Amino acid sequence: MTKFINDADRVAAETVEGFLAVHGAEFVAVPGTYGVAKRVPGDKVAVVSGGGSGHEPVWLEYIGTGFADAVCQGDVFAAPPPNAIVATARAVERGHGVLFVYGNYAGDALNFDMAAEELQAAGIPVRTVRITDDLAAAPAERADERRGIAGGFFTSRIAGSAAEAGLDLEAVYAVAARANAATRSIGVASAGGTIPGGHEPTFTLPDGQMEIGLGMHGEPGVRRGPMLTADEAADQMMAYLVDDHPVDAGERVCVLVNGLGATTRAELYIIARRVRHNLDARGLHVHDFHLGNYATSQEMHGFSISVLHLDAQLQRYYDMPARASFFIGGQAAPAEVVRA
Amino acid sequence: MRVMTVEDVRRMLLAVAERIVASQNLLCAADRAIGDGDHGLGMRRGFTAAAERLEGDGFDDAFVPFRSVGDCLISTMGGASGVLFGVLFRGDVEAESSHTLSLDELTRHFERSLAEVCRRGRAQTGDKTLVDALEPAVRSLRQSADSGEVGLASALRAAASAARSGAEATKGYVARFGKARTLGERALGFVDPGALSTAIVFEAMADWAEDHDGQGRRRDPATSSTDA
Repeated sequence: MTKFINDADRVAAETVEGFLAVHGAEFVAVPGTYGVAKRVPGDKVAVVSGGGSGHEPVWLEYIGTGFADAVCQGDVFAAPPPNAIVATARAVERGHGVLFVYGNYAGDALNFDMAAEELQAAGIPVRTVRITDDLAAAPAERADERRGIAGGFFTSRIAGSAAEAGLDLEAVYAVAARANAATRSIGVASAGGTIPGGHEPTFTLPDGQMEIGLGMHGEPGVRRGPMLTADEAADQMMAYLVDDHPVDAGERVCVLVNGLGATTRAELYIIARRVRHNLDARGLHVHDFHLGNYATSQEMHGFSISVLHLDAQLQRYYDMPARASFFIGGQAAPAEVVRA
Repeated sequence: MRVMTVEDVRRMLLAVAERIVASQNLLCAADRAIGDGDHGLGMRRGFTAAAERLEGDGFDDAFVPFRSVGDCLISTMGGASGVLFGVLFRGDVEAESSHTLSLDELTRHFERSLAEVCRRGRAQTGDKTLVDALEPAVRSLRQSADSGEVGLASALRAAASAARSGAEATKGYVARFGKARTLGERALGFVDPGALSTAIVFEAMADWAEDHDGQGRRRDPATSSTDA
């Protein structure tokens, strides 16, 4: 794969520079880091996300109304260092504490935990929600070991809105943790992506094969086999999702059919059509349905399906206005303002 | 060698940094087998910065060069390795202070490092991590220190051998962390890159100490193993 880059060592930096070239009216660089922050953060709990570069729009673009106040990226597929995370959090912290929201990967946890210690030592309270939506990464009884993939979109959005509603840190944390616990995702891929400057894809499959449950960095999944049709793949993945988090007819769900980088929108629509049939057949009420590249892994060819099981509390925050560079949503009445 | 001066510590850690930077390709190759293949790149970045810090700063405390290297790795590497190798060098925040470093002080430093690495990484021996090399190295240092009869150079050599054996033993383990965890038994037969780096760190310290044992006397290959 020949990429349009300049220097493999500058990919993380130049991605951020490009984001600010386009969106610099709203956001500003955090000096000395691959972090960006809102120019005008609200007087509220600060929501801060981050992780390795290379998964855009995760995490770089998960910033905006109803999303994070600041995000901090690392090098490609590598967690940012603690000092960068601290500087990013300080850029938007306004005396109400910080909520970290990031994917459940060892490197991210080590660096964000060390950043949290430093902030807490300086008197800034910090709570952490790690995204664990990938049901293929570990069995349900060890759900806290699961990785974070595209379903983090739902948790990020609800966390951002809960903070904007004026909740205090403990309450924002509780709502975000609840959103994470109510989200399940599963992915499938037929070809891996290549790290910029790398020569080999993060994984390879024999021609005509696909793997369900494969991770964002090529971590092995739960079922490898011959390529299925779009409908067959969607049916199998919906079965995994419903098996892991049973649903009742009439329940409200939000759904995301996510492209992993190289999947065409036509393919995603064909998948979405079958997902919708599945949801309708189970008597579920589709509250919101998203389609697009919301969490990618370079030019990985594949997709994931994420389902958020809404309850009244989550829906209140989900329906608040939300806008990020890759997404506009939320039109229902604003949540009750509970600012102290 | 019974104690190291601040300058000894600084020069020893510079030698460690040079050895790790020179091992970049070896470490990347080890990581390609069961990880992302970038371990050597992160280590080169971190130890290049650490070497610049060691070259540039004056130190008046024998523990401070360790802390400087650790802080440098943490702030420049990112990823899991940045924190874990940073903590390996930094120890913990309640560090001692001394103008010279005895074997007992060096041992206590690495005992704190081991405790911090295990606490933060939530790893134990047998999990196929750097702990598998660090734990036997620290245990060896403790035995040497308690015996009261072993010089620093010999103690570091024994620790380096223990670290190397521990790293080799990771070939027989499945991983509990990182990308290698998801490989399950497919990770068998491959050494953990972090454990390999840890062995190289201790070997570089042992080589430096032997080379500078006995008032600057160069290591004599015929006698280098008899200093104990």
